[in-house]
Amino acid sequence: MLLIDCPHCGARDETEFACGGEAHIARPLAENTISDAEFAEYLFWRDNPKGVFLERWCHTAGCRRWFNAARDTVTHEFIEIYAMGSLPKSKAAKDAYASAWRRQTASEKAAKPAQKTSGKGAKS
Amino acid sequence: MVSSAVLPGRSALSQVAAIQHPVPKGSAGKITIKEAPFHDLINLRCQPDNKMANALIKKLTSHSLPSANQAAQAGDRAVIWLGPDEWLIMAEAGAANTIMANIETANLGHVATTEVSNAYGILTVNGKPSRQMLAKHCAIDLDAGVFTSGTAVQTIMGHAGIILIATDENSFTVIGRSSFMPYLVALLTDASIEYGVEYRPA
Amino acid sequence: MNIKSPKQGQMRLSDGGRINRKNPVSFRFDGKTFAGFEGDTLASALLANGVHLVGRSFKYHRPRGILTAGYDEPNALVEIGQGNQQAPNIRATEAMLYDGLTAKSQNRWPTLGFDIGAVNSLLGRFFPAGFYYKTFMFPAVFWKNIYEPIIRKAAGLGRAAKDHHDADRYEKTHRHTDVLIVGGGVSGLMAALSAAGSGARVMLVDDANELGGWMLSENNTTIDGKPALNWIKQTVKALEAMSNVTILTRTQCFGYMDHNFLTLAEKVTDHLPQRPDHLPRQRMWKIRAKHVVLAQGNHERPLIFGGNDKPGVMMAGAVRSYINCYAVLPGRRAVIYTNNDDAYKTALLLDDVGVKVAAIVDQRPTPSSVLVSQAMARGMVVHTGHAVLDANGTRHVGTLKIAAINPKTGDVTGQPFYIDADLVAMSGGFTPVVNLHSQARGKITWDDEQVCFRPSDYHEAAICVGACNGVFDLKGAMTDAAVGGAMAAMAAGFTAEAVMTPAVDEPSMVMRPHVLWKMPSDAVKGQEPKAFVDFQNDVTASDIKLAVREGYHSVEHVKRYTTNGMATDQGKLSNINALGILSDQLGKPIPEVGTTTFRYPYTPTTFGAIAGRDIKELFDTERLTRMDAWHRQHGAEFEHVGQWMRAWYYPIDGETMEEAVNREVKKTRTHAGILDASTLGKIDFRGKDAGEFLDRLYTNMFSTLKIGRCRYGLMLKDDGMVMDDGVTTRLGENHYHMTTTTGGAANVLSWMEEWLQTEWPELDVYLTSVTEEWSVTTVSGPNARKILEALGCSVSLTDDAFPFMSYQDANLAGLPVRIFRISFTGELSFEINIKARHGLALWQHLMKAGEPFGLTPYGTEAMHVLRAEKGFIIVGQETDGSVNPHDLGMSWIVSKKKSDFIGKRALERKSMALNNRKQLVGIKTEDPKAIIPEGAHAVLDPHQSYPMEMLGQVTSSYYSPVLGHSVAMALLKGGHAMKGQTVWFPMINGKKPIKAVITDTVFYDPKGDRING
Ligand SMILES: [Zn+2]
Repeated sequence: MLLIDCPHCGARDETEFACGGEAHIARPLAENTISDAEFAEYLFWRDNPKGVFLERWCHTAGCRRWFNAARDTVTHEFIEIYAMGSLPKSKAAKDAYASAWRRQTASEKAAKPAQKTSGKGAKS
Repeated sequence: MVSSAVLPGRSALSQVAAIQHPVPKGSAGKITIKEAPFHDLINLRCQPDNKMANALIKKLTSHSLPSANQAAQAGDRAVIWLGPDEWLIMAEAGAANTIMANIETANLGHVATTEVSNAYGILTVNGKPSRQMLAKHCAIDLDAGVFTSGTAVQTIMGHAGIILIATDENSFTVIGRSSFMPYLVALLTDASIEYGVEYRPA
Repeated sequence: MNIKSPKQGQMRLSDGGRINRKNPVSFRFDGKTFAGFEGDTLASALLANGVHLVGRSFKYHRPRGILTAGYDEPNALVEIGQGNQQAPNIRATEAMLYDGLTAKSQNRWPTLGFDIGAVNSLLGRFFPAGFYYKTFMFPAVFWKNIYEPIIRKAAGLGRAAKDHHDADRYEKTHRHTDVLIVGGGVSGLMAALSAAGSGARVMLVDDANELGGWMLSENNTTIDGKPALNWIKQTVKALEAMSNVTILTRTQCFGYMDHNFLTLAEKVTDHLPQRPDHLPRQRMWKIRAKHVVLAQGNHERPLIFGGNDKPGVMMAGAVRSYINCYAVLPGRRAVIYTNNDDAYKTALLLDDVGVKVAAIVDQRPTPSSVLVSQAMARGMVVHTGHAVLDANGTRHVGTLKIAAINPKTGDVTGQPFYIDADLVAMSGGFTPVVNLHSQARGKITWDDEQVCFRPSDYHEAAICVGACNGVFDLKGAMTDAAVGGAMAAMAAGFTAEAVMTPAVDEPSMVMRPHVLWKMPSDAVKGQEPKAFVDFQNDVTASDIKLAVREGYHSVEHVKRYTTNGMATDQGKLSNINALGILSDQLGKPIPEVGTTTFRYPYTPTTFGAIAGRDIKELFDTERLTRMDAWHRQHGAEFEHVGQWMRAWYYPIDGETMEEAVNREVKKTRTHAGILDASTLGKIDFRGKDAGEFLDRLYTNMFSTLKIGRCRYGLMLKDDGMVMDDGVTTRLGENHYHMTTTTGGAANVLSWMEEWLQTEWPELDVYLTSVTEEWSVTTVSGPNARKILEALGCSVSLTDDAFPFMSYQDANLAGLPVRIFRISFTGELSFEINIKARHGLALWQHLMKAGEPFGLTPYGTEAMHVLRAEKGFIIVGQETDGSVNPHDLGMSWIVSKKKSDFIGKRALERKSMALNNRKQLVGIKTEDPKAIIPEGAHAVLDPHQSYPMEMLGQVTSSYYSPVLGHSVAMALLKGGHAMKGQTVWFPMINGKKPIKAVITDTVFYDPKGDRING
């Protein structure tokens, strides 16, 4: 059973957590027009890498807060745990973030407001 | 609105009768479990750096907002950390409305109070082997050197979510959702059979 | 004892051993009464009585004896206890003896001495590797009806207690520790001393009854100038005195999972004649350790020769255990068969206690060490460069066939000769116990020098020490362990120092076994005697060779094909021998052959311990509402809704469910009904962005809702499919109260928290569950208003003062309440929320006030009928995650004005509005009494050929006592355009298809007049 270091409560058993799947999936805003296929990139497509994976966890039985984690899916090592809305700092996790195919998708670009200059989406 | 304390009403455990198991030879000590009903409980949501809110809570409860995994519990009122922007205020019966009104009218920004006095049941657990007993269904490190007096965590006991607070070396407060309380009493008295136990309803 | 004690066994030495001679006990084995002592294991007590034959083997039903003295025992599995305390597959070598213990042998029928299954042995050539795969391949029906029952009867290890009711108590517990040390031998003790000295929390666990490990079996070793046993005693005492050390004996670590999570099985009362009720028989410990020290020592390997499984053939080390720990002679005339020096210690000890050592057969051509010289000096005959070819004897070993061999090739080079013996003490080398290390994904490496695998890389925060780490000499092992213990404590964050290794004196010897994987035999090829590699699964050397000949070259394939290492002992003794034979057959060195993974559990563990107290009423929680006691007193039947227990219906005077539900429905429509709706999810919304957040959550608008008004909302997932529904009320400017379905409450709250925390953290909204803060009672029906008025309500309940879909704080019967005028029945309806502690009081007041008005309690079944008559959906019944609002005919609830909400973009996909989607319709049967089963599929023509073209399925179906006919809803392809058309519902079991017509979903009061009473 994994031991997960909740950034607020400290290390707890895996049974206290829920895994929320891939992190850093930006939600396209409805005001931006994208094709169904592009929308599917957001809605359906998920990575399943062997190695470093950036994912979201929620400490459901504890503080109920969400956070991000970089976990090695082979060794189960938690390389880094970092706040929701922020980007990882460790090299392995940064590389995983930068190299994700998703960074180039139309659905990710559509997560930014069409007119306004900046949007504050925690997932991005 | 009239306070919910107008009438005592029925506690979360009013349908559960007393339970007793004899103290066997070689027991590390008897466990006593009691219901501590009719405390007023307020769920407080507030950013931890809200200085005005912190000062007001201190005025109302005599406690500053405790940090992670801590409960400030000296005196009549207690404040229990539940999360980075969430606390549970425990006060004497009938106090909730006044405390909430004080907070709600104070213009503290993004702060909210919700009364949850009825949503939870409270048990006190006493006895020398309390830590051993609780560890049977709880994965938290309950070592006396780690889970010191004043430590408070939200975690799982058996199949129920709870708030667990160490009040001293051999005493704990277990707070659970009302509907889970009969299960929790059954679970904890069962886990205490090894030591001998008395459960006393309020 | 008040019964006459039987005589102590004739193989017991007059003194010595670690048994308590002051406490003789009697026990029964296969119906016969024997004597033993406290401190004996069942195995040692049986051997003391000259009983070697204790079981039959799994496949061939060959007579089997006691091979080892520990938990690695593959043969001596017995049933212990009687009635519902009977436990199968207990290793006799581990079972501590107590007065009155009753044991039975397994795998034999009708008796141990005469076993019919043993004919399998005569038919041995029909049971080769892969036999089951080859024979029982087809036809399938044969498998189910013929093969499987035969195999089940013939095979299997032991039987579970007959009445399947385990009377014993089992518990689980959690423990955190800085250092967990697995294995309490000398290495474990050294590691514990080092680690504990640092102040770290140390747990030391050992499977045996007392600490000391293999050293308890040795008689010729001194530590600090004194017998090793003294040092052990002293060390254990020192550790016991330390408050930071926890010692568990009779505790096996059987699982090593991720992040240093380990499981231990402690036998708490297994060894007691009377198990006290207040203690568990066994306790499973779930350990989270900062660092783990594995000090599990090694397993001695058997040698492979014909008849090596016969009773009387034992591991050489085990022979020393029985003599030194239990003062038991396992035989009178022994032959030592070895490929290393260690077995010479056994030869010398046997000689010491008066057992004739008839010969030492050593595979090595020129063994030379102090031990060998000592044996020769005592006049023992040492046959170097020889091998045992075969062991004869029917139920016990009797004669050994021995011959000179070419030590390199294993070819028999000399004329065989015979030696009589009733004991063969064999040693084929030593295998470090890397099982847990490997289970934890640690890597192992082949040590060509010591001819074994030993740990190399660690995956978890762990360290292997001593023999477990491939350090076989005592001094080396102790130093290794002392350093390991200190390193573990340091890794756990403590300042630690390795304790000094005391002076050690043990016979110097060569532990390296001679490498000969081929089994020496002079038999004609193909007719070699059965030589067992895996004793428990009856896998022979020939089986492995056959597997290779048939093309199985991967170690994983050979394992599965032969089942080697797959029995409950997980190949503790057999793995290396099997790999050796495989490497010899393939002509590849062992590291290239590879090894299989060691899996959980390391040793068999009772299901009782794994289940703990998660049984019966503690298996799951049952959540009760505050009115639960009333429902029970009034004869309610209950149904589970999630974890909640909800009143289902209230039968009166022997009513059937149908009768009760019909009465409850009718009474609600004509007078009034009262429902306990406390289980509905309730969430408090606070903050300036609460309205905005609700707008994004629901398909419709909530920010414009006026204070004091309620609105029904539909929540979608971002794929556009319906997820939950409920009524949300605006209590104040920045304050909303949301209700969710009973089953969806927790999900919806987490779902909303997820959006708030991960997608829209800029929104100032706080959510708090208030499901249990409020008890909810719904009063519904034309008399609802009158009942509330009769009770004394502080606010006017007229349509003008209190319109439909509005809310007010009030006092009812003097109690403060929140009243919501909403309806799930289509009748005039008030949903009254009250602080839960007063829930029952209010319910009782309402029942009393309602009596003159015909108020009837109704349960969830009547609630379903009432809502189905009105065509109200239930999420999770009418929807299944693939249904969107258009499908439900609820396009009206999807806002066109809002720039975004969850599910908006997905709803815009063309396919979401296609006419051939499954759409919700009403179904009216031609026969008013016919009730279509829920889930039934609709077809246009019931006579069409299979497979029929199916239109969709019925989602809800009830009998409406008010309308006098059944009402149903169904999701049918293109259903919205098919109203008025006839459809059929084919039935199973030869029943006639049900004919029905597609209708609107609202069957009752389509205009909605009744909502105002
Ligand atoms: Zn947490």
